[in-house]
Amino acid sequence: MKMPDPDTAVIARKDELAAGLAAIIGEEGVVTDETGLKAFECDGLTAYQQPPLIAVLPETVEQVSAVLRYCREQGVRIVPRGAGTSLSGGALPLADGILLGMGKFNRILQIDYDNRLARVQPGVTNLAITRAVEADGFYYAPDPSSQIACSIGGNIAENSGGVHCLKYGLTTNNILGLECVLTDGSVIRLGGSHFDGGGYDLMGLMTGSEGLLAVITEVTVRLLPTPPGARAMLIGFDALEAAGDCVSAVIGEGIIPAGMEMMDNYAIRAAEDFCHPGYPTDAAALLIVELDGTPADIEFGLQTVRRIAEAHGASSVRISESEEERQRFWAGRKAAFPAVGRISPDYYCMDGTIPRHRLPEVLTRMAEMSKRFGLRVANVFHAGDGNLHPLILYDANEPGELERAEEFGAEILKLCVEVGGVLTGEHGVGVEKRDLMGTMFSEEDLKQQQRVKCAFDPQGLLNPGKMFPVLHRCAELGRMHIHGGRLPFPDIPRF
Amino acid sequence: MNEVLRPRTDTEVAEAIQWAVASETVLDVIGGGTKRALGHPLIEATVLDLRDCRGIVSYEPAELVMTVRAGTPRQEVEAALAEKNQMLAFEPMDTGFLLEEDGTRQSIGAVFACNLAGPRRPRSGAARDHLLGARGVTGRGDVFKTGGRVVKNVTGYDLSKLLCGSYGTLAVMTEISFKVLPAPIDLRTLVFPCSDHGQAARLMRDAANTPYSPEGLAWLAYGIDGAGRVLMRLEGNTPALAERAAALAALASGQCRELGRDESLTLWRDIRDLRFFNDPAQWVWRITVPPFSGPALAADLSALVSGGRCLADWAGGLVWLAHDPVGEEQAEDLAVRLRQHAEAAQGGAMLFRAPAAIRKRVAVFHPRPAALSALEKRVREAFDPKRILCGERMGGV
Repeated sequence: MKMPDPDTAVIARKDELAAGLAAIIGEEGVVTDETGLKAFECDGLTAYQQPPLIAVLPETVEQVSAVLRYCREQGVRIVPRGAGTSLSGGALPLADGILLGMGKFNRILQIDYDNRLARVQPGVTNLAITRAVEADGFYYAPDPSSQIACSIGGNIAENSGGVHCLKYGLTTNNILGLECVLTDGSVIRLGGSHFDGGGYDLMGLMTGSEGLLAVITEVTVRLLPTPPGARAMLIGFDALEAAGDCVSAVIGEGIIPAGMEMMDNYAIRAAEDFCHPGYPTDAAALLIVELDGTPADIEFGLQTVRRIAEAHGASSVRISESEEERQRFWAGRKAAFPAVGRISPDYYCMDGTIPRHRLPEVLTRMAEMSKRFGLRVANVFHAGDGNLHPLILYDANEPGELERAEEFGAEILKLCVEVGGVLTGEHGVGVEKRDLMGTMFSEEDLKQQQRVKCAFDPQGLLNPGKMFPVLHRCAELGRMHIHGGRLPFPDIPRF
Repeated sequence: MNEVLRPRTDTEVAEAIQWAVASETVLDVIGGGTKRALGHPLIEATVLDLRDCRGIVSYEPAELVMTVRAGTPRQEVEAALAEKNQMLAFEPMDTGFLLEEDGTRQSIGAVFACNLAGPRRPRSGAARDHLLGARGVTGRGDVFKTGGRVVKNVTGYDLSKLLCGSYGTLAVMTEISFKVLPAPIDLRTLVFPCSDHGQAARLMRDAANTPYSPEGLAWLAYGIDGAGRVLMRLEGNTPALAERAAALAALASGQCRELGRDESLTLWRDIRDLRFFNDPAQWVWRITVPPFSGPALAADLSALVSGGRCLADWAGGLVWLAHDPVGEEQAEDLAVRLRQHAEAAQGGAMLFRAPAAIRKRVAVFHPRPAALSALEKRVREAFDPKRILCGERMGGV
């Protein structure tokens, strides 16, 4: 993966830039030594590593604003970073760039139950929000698997999902307001403490923009009342296809479960060996279905899903009889990645989405690829929304295996696009899928996205090298090719 | 009568826009043309009518996704969904009643372009939360697409969000894919007598804060027929409804009555479409605020105007105010005062219905701070540098 050529003139000015930044935020907030910088050299996509030129750790919005203004004046690139848990290399530093670490923005500023919202700084972890309000009967709905570590600012950047997003939505559906800083240092507030205030939905645009548009300094999230109860079901099937059909039938009957996950036999056995959740190890596919709500709601859902599962030839159905058992049902799924990690030296987690009815075909072709590349693959997916997480097993110490795993992964994602799906459901494009963007978008589609970037960041200083395979200059993108003013549409009906 | 162009394909839409760019002609982009009275009036515009870009492209009920041409009538979309017991969960407002247009003509593209969600908004989101992807033509005349046809997708910028609520000023959508949801099996409404704004705010808050939270929470307040009342709509399977109704009724010591399915359907349609505002001469404001302050603001604003009629939807977060017209000279002053009150409650106000002469003079959308306004202008420029798509419909952005 090629990153933008480092600007050697900027690298040569490291000391001067460090001094300039220290003048803004104090020396303690500026990291320049090799050991200190090593802490930032990668995120959750560990295959790529690059220490930044300088790491800057601001504490206030004013400091962020001044740092960005300074970088713009000096022509220095900036990579924002939350907790560094991105699985797509969204926070991968640049050799000639500043790493802007938002970790010190770690306070919950306001909890407002009258309006069911919390105003927090971007470095607060996803789980910390729920922890702060759960005793009062509330929670923050999106629950990415990394929720204990990932920051809410990073969740906005990536539009994170989680196992419950089928029913409760992604990050973008659960926030009300943002404060962010543009590269010219201006501080803008988007949204607020209410819905749909009018004007362009820049908050929606910022969500999932992977740190390429502006730096987030405050987030207002929605809080939801905790459902009174939840129960989970384990449903085993002898064939993946039957499990897939069952998922469609459940949704077709009007049931939207709180979560609906599928694992293939390889993942089932890895999880069972790892933490013994009681999965049916002989099943070809396992569905974990969670119903939440009031007791009557849950009962209705469980009975409906059980009836549908049995009609689709389920080989086993178990319903959690206690909260402890429900947690155990989930433990295996949540530990699927480390469980697979235990049976293989390394694994590479993919993240495509497909229309669900194409699942059997995609799985068959993935099995063929697995043979062709000589690498095993375990599958876990968010079955309700068609989001696949194939885990490709490889050994980085074997020469060529990482490259083969990456090639295999790229083939899977191209397949997702080919069947009408997308490259990434929740992990983001980052550096990882950057060069695959052309399989999903035309040159013009990507140019239009970059024109929007130019509206925010005309110098292209924020997080370059991510998301877009080719970076165009804003002046070039803005040029119009006007077709001479004639009436070029004699065939359009006029009235 | 302005000239009307009726393109049938993406290519024809692009040709029309390229011509408009070259000749610097403003295009009034319409589907059924029922929402032309929203926003600032467009003068001297050529109409780009998308009614011939129509038809359902694909509908997979089990995928919860539908793809349609943008000019398809909303009615046709909803009829297809109803056949499979599904719906547009954001319950889009039908502005036909309020704007005195034939609502059956409205297009699905306009439903998304205006992002006007109905009473289910706090529970199920707005149009912006359901648009998965779009094809369209920018104000540069370039055909582009954004997003996809699956419900979970973070590939590239979410330009769909920008298109929702852009009132046609960024791009002409020609084909859209959106998420749909199962329709509720059953519904009912609890009606609580309540004329006091403080009591209304507390009751709606308490209901929204329980795990039995309703799928509709509105306060019919000032000048709406009959005495003030808080309404709670419950949707779901029948046994669960009884359980939730009991829990919610207990919030007001059982002081409520219950409406069944049919009455509920009519009542919530009336709230969604503001059929209570039946004096066409009155001006209407749409005010969004943090919900707990909504009822107090409603009371406050009703006292500020003459002939004030008010209802607060979205648990208080959406206040609709109707009032008697004022003269052109007083209009700006009134707008400033209403907006001061809305801002004091951390909200904003859109002038939703008023004569064109007033909408020409008064800022229709809530004014934004300078840095934000400048950014919005640059975003507009990224799509439509010549400002030919719906011209100044959204004001200066």
